[in-house]
Amino acid sequence: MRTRFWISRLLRTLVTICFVVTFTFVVLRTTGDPVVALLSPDALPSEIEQFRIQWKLDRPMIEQYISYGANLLTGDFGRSYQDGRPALQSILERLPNTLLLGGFSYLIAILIGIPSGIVAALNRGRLIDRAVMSLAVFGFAMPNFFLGILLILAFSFGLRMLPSAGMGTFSHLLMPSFTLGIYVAGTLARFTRSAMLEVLDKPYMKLARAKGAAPFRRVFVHALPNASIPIVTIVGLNLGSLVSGAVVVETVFGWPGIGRLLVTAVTARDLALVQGLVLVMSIFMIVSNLVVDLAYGILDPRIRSSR
Amino acid sequence: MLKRREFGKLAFAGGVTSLAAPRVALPQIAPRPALTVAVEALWQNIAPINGISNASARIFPNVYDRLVEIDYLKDPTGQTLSPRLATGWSRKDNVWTVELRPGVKFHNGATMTAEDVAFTLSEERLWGKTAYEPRGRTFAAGFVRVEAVGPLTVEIETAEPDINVPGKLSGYIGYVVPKAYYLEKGVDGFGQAPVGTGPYKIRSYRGNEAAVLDAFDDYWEGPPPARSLTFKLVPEYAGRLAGLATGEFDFICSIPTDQEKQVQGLSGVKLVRQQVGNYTAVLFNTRNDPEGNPLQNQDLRYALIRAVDMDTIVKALFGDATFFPAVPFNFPEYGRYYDPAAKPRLPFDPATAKALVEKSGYKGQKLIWHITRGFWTNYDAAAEIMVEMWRAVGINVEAQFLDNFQLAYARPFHMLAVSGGTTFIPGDPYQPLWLDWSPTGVISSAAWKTWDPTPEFVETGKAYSSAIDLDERKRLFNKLSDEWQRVTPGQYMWKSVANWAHQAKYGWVAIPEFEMRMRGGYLKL
Repeated sequence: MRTRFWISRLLRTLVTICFVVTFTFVVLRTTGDPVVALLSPDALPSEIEQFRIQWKLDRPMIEQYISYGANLLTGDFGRSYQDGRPALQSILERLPNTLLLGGFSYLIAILIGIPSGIVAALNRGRLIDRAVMSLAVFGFAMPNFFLGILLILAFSFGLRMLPSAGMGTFSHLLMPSFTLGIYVAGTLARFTRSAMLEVLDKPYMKLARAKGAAPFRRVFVHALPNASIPIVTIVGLNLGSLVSGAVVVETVFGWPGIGRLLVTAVTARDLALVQGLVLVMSIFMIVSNLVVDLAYGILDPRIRSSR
Repeated sequence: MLKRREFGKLAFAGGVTSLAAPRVALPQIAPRPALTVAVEALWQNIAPINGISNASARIFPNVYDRLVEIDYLKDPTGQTLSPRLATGWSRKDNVWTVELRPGVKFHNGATMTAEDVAFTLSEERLWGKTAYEPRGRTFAAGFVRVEAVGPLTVEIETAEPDINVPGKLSGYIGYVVPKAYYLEKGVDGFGQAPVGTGPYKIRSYRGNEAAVLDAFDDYWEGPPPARSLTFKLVPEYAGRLAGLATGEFDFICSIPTDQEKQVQGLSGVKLVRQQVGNYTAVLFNTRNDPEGNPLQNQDLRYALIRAVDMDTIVKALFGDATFFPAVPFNFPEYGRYYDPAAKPRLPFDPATAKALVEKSGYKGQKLIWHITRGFWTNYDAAAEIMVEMWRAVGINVEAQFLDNFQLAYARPFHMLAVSGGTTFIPGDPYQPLWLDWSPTGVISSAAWKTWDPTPEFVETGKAYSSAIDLDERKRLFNKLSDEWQRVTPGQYMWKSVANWAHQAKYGWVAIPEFEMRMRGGYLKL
C-alpha cells in the first residue's frame, strides 16, 4: 500500500516537472525573440543571425526541445546567453542566499504566526483577539515591496540602525526576512486561530479540562496536534512561495539570490537561465507539497492507514 | 602555541633586526579608504565593446585605460584630447602612426605592447565579418589596416583620409585589452574577468550583485586614491538613499529628478549633476512599414514638430538642468560648429501645425509611439504632454509604454523613443549626424530602422566624413543638417542629465559622461 502511494506520488511529481519544463520552454520561445533582447539595440540583422546560429536558435523548436530535455537528464541546464556560464552554476551560486533568506523568514513567520493565532483563539472575541487579527490582516495585505521601502526609510534612513541593501552580516538579513516573513506570519496566524477554535470545543478538550490538565498541556498536547493539519498545509504551501516570493524582496533589498537573478534573466530573455530557475522553483514547490503529504501521515494516523 | 623559549628567540631576533636596520622614519601613510558606489544597474559583462551600456560606462575607465582621452580637467567643455596609453600620434595621408607609452602594465603583470594595441583595434576583434565584438564595426568605421610596426608603434590605415582617428581612439575602441589573455579567455570569459591597464583591477564581477575592484598599485600614473571600489547593485532608490545617509555608501547614482532636493537637504552629502553627451529623441518612421504609414508624408512630420512646445515641456520637467536643442545637431559641445544664433526651421506654431495636418491629407489614423518605460528620466511624462499637444492639432498619437527594448523595437510602430550619444568624436558632430543616420548607421540598418537616407544626404555625408579641411567640413555639416531637417525623420528633445550624490568629505570631479573616473585628479579622498 505504502509502496503504491510513493510510486504514484513520484510519477505525479515527474509529470508535473515535465509539464513545467515544456510549458516554460514553449512560452519563452513563443512570446518573443531572445536574440533581439540580448544583443544591443543597434545590432545588425547579420549579427542577429550569427548569434542565432551560435546558440542553435535557428533549429526547429521540436529539435531544440528534444536537445534541451536530453541535456536536462544529464544535469546540463544549458549556458547563460548573457555571460556564457553554465546556467546551473549561476543558480547554485545564488540558491544558498535565497534559502538563507527564505529559511530565516520562515522562522520569523512561524515564531510570530502560530503563537499569535493560538493567543487569538484562546482569547476569542476579546480585544487581544481583534488586535492580533488586525495585525494579521495588515501582514498579508501589505504589499511586500511597499513594506520593504517603509522599513528601509524607518530603520536605515531614519533610525540608522540597519543596512539598507545587500548581504554580508546578520543585520543585512533582518529587514528582508521580516518583509518576506510577515506575509506568511499573517496567514499562519489566521489559519492557526481558526484551526484552534475548531478543536477547542471538542469533547476531548472538555475531558482534558475535567481531568485537571494544566492550560499549557491542554493547548500544546491536546489542542495543537489536533489543529495541526490545516496549519501544516499552510506552512507547506508557503514554504514554496517563500522561494518564489523572494523575487520582489530580493530586488528591493538588493539581496543576491535567485529571485533577483530571475528578474534579470527574464528581462534579458536568457532562456537557459529562466528555464533553470523556473525548474528549480517548481521542484521546491513540489517537494514542499510532498513534505506536507508526508507530514499528514505522521500527524494523523487515520490518514496514514487510509492510504 | 608559542612557547616561552621560542618567544625569547623571536624577541631577540627582532631586537637584533631592529638595531641593524637603518633608522628611517617611515612616513605615516593614512590607509586608503574602500569606496562603495550604489548603482541602479549593472550590465551582464564588462567587455569594452560587447558590454557597452550606461551602467558599465561607469566602471570602464577604472578598469581600462584609453589610448587617448577627453581631458575634462584641462578643459571642462570636452574639446581637448590628452595622451594616455598613446603618447603621440601623427597622420600622413591615410595612415596614422600612434606611439605608445612604455612600461605600462596590465593587471595580470604583462607589459603592454604594440601587438596588444593592434589586436585591440584589429579586424579580428572589431571590424571583421566574424569579429569578437562586432559592435566595434561602427566605432572603427573606415579602418582598413591596423598593424604593430615597432615594439611601441602602431599604424592605423583608413580607407579615406580621416582627421578624427585620435577622437575615435578616445571612445570605447580606445580601451586597450591584452591580446594573449583576451584570446585565452574568449570574449565572454573576458567580459566576466577583464584585465586592463586601468587604476583598479577586477577582484570579482557579478552582474547581478556587484563589481569589486582593487587598487592597481602598478598603475602607470601611480597608485589610485581608493584601496578598493565596489559598484554595488541596489535597484531600489530608497535603499541607495538610505545607504548614503547612513554612510554605508560613499556614492550613489541615478537620483530621480524630483528627489534631488531631498538629497541636497542631507547633511554631509553633496549632489552633483551633469549634462551628459547624449540626447533623447523621438524617431518618425518614414518607411512604408507598416503599409500606408501616414508618416511617410513630410507635411505630417513637420506638423508633429510644430505642434509641440518642447522648450516649455523641458523647462517644466527639468528646470534649468538641461535644454531643448531647437535646431537639430546644433549642439553647444561642438564648439566651432555650434551657432547660438541659429533659428529653428520648424518653430512651435499650433496654427501652422493644423494647416500642415490638413495639407497632408491625414485622416486621423492612430500613430503608435513605442517607448521603453522609465528608461529615460521624464521621457514618459514628456510623451504624455506631447500626445495631448498633438491631439490639439488633430494628430492621433498613442504612446505605448513597453517594458523593455525588445518590445519597443518590435514592429509595427510609427514613432520610436531613442537616445543618441554625441561624444564619439570630441568637438565634431560626426556621431549624431552621420554615424547614426548614414546608410550603415543603426537608424538606417537595424531591424527597427525608421528611415532610408536620401541620395542627397548620402552624397553630402560621404563628402563630410572624409573632409579634412575644417571650414569645408563645417560647410558640409550645415548642408547635411539642412537635408536632414528637410526630411525631418525625428526630433531631438533634450540633452540627457546624469546625477550622483556622494559623501561631501570626498572631492570628486563628475564629467559630462555617464562614466565615473575614480583615479587621481578626479577623486580626492
